[in-house]
Amino acid sequence: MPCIQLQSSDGEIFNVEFEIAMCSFTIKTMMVDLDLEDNCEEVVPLTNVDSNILRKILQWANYHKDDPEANPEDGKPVDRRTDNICEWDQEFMKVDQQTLYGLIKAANYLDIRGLMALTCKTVANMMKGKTEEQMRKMFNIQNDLTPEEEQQIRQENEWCEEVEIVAD
Amino acid sequence: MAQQHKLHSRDQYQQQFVATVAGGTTGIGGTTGHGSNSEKRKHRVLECDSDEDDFAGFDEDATRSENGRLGQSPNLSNSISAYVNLKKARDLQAALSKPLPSAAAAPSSSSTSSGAPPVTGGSGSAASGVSSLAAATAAAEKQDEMESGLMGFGATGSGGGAGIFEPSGKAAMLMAAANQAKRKVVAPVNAQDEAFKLPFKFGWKRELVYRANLDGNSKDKGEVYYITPSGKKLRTRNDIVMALQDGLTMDNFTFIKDPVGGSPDEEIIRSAKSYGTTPRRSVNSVAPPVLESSSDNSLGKRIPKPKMPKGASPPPPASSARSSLGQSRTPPSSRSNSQTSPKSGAIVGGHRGIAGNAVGQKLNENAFGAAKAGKLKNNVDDSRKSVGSGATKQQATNQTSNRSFIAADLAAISQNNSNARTSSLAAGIEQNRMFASNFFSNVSVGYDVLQQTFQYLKVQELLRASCVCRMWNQVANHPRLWRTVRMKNSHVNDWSGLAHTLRQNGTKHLDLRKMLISGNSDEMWHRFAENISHVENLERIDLCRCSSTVVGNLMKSNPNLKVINALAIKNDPLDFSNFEYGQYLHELRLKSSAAVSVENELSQLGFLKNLRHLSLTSIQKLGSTSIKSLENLVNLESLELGECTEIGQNFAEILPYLTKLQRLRLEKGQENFNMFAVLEGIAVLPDLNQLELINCDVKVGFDKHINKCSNIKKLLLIPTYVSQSAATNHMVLSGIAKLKDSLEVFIWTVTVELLRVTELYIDQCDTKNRDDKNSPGESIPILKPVPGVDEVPVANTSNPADTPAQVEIVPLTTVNSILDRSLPKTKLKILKIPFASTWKQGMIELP
Repeated sequence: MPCIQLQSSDGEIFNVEFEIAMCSFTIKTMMVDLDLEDNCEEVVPLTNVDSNILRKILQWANYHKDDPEANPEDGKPVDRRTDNICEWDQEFMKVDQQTLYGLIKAANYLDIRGLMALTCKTVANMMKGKTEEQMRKMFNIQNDLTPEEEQQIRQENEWCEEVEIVAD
Repeated sequence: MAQQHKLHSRDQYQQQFVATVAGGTTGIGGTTGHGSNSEKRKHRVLECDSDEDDFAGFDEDATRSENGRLGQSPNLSNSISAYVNLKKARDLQAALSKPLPSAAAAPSSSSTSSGAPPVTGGSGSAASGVSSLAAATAAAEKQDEMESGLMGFGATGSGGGAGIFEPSGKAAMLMAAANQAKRKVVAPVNAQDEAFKLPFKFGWKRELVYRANLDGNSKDKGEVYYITPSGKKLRTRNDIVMALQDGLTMDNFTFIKDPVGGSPDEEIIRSAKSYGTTPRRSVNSVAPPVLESSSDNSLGKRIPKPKMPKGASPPPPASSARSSLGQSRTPPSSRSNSQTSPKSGAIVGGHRGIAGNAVGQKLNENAFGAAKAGKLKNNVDDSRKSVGSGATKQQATNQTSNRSFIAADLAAISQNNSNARTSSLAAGIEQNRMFASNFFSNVSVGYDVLQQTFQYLKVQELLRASCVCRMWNQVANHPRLWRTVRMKNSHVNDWSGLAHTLRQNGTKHLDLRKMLISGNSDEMWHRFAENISHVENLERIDLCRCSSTVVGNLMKSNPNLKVINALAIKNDPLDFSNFEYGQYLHELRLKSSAAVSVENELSQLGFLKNLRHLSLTSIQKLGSTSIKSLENLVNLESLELGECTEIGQNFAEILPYLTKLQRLRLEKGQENFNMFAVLEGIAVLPDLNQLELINCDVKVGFDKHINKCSNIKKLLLIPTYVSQSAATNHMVLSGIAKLKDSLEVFIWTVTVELLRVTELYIDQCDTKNRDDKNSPGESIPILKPVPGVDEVPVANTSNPADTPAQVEIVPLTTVNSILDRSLPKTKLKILKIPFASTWKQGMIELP
């Protein structure tokens, strides 16, 4: 199996199978455009992915390597559910917020769509069912809205009522 | 005072900053913006009016951010690929040139005023593009707040110094201290006070940046920054307060715009370089550059091109302006070199004088790709050479080769990492450099990620998120997230509020399915009707359980609607009043849980001349009154009718008018349904290639009539299995075999009930074979002789002795192989579903 060498920001070099590295559209595009598929002596530096994150990502990519490739142009409805995260992924996502954020950033940078969806869903699930104040606390956000502004936003948003989610 | 102003404007700053980013994000692709851009949006809407999925349409604009996917090629988002393909990289830069002027326009005037471009000496402190660096760096610090405010994931990586983020509680506490400190500014300050030198002893640095274009206001002559021992650049008192340690107090820091007398290593004094093409708006403004320029743009609007005074020559594009600046600064030696390694030139420039260069990070990140690209293509846009060009120590590296540049870059990175630990000066600057260069992409990552996350929230969750903070509010109000509004499990208690929000956010699709309705639903629909007419942007609506009058009223009140789906009509009989207003409607689906009747003819349906899809599947005895008006719907491409118990010749006469018809679905073709007449009608429509017959009687003679339908490429057949199932199956097998030359896909659906009955039959009759485990599996009865069976070995068929001689029990596997043989070119599938699910069964795509 041909491999590609990826170097994390802290200098660690990972030998990664092509097939796994291809989950990243960024890398894939590079490989294709540079015609590197047969020749992978080069070390590809990933300067904003550190080794911990990269290791996690490779772990994820390895598990999901057989997933069907999502093609955004095939006209399928966008998956908006957040309750369909498979068990392995749920386990995988049990990380501290900093790691989670690192994963998101790396997934975005490397353009790994499956991981991007997974991480965003995870964060969305963290937001669900929380009050504004709880969300601020959870994500360490300072409320920079003035009380008047907040009041106004609330008023504008009052048309939709909170309803207990009943089973479908 | 400048500082006070800054402190005051922090909120504003952040907001506007976000605005800039947002503008950059959405504006780049030149696609959508906020409300004011409705014209543009409308245009887009037309392009994607038929998309089933709510997000398909916007992916394109939402992803045209610098870190998103550029343009049509999905994956060019990223730096590597940007490098790889220079042309695309150029696009990237072109895109970036938009946010640039606003983000880093700085205290600039046009390039012509730069009488004295800072000479870039070998001294480590000298840097060109000062103002822009300042802008970027300052913004980078802001970005700390933003990132943590945005996602709240604490201190973030990417070159961030220590103590980037303090827990908000502590921050609040420190804020008070900061305010106290702020007051002291009022007293005259002696810049030479020894106290101000104290921080240098602890590894702090001070940076004083004089503006290049002094326009007479000494208060505004520059900016002061402090760099912490860990290399983080601070620009406000609050920031410093939070970073205080080693017994230092605010008394040891001053933002007076004079040197405090540190050594050149400790105190960096430099001149800003005028930059960019946007004329300054206000001479006296002391707001930071980003703030100043971004105040031109409210969130989401596209960033306007800089306007030139009347009579002036046309403004040079941002990139070329930068190019000229760059050339004036870049020593000839390095310039000539960058001819051969243009990309790396850009990168090196990007490193230091990052100049608010959003490409920065991406550029930095992939020296490897860059060098590759440099090798592959040598013709480079001149402007590329000088992206944020700055004179740096690394320029020396630049003068070597691509390869060594990469090495140097990597070395710098690793050095950067190790230096960070030793808190050396180099580390500090290096870190700032990294930080500045990562700034834009980091911010846009945050914005992008937040938006992507929000798309998983339901309406009320999104509304709640919009109350969290300013940033979230901005993101949560992005039109992309409001393109489709789903009210499932939600309750609307104020329809005017909903209408307002939908209007404001340009919602195109309102989905009311499974919406919760409490109280009097008639009253609710009344209020709905009153308000929904204001949402002119609405194009598609899915209604929940309602009366058909709601549908008619919608056609009247919202003529822009293209699609109306009402799949839970509750009134009986159906009322088609106001349907004459629906002449622009493209799709209409009416359905009820139980069959409903129509009082008179369907004449009003005839007004829907632009209809391309009509689904009318719950009409009891459809066809018992005239259905002649359907022949006016000449634009129909897809038609679904049910219940077809009275359909036959009447429908066959209409079919020839529907020349554009491509798909036809008939449900419940039973009782008086005349399939043969219908098949005759179908056969004359050349474009009609998909036929779905759901629970239709397949009678003897089917094989002779289906024979003519060589136009049908895809056939879904669910025969009625009530009686005569064996004869039905016989007809299906022999009929389908006649289409072997034309049929591409054939889905034959047998009901689970039929299989069960057959199984029961075998159990009862086939007592002899019951014990041997030679069970044939799921089987269906077929009247003998089984069509096509003589070519297939019948070994597998079980034929109990007491089975009526005419019927053969054939396992589905065998049926499948019979079909395979009879229709070698056709994709086949036999589905087994319960009768109750047959109504929902549609054509499936076979691999």
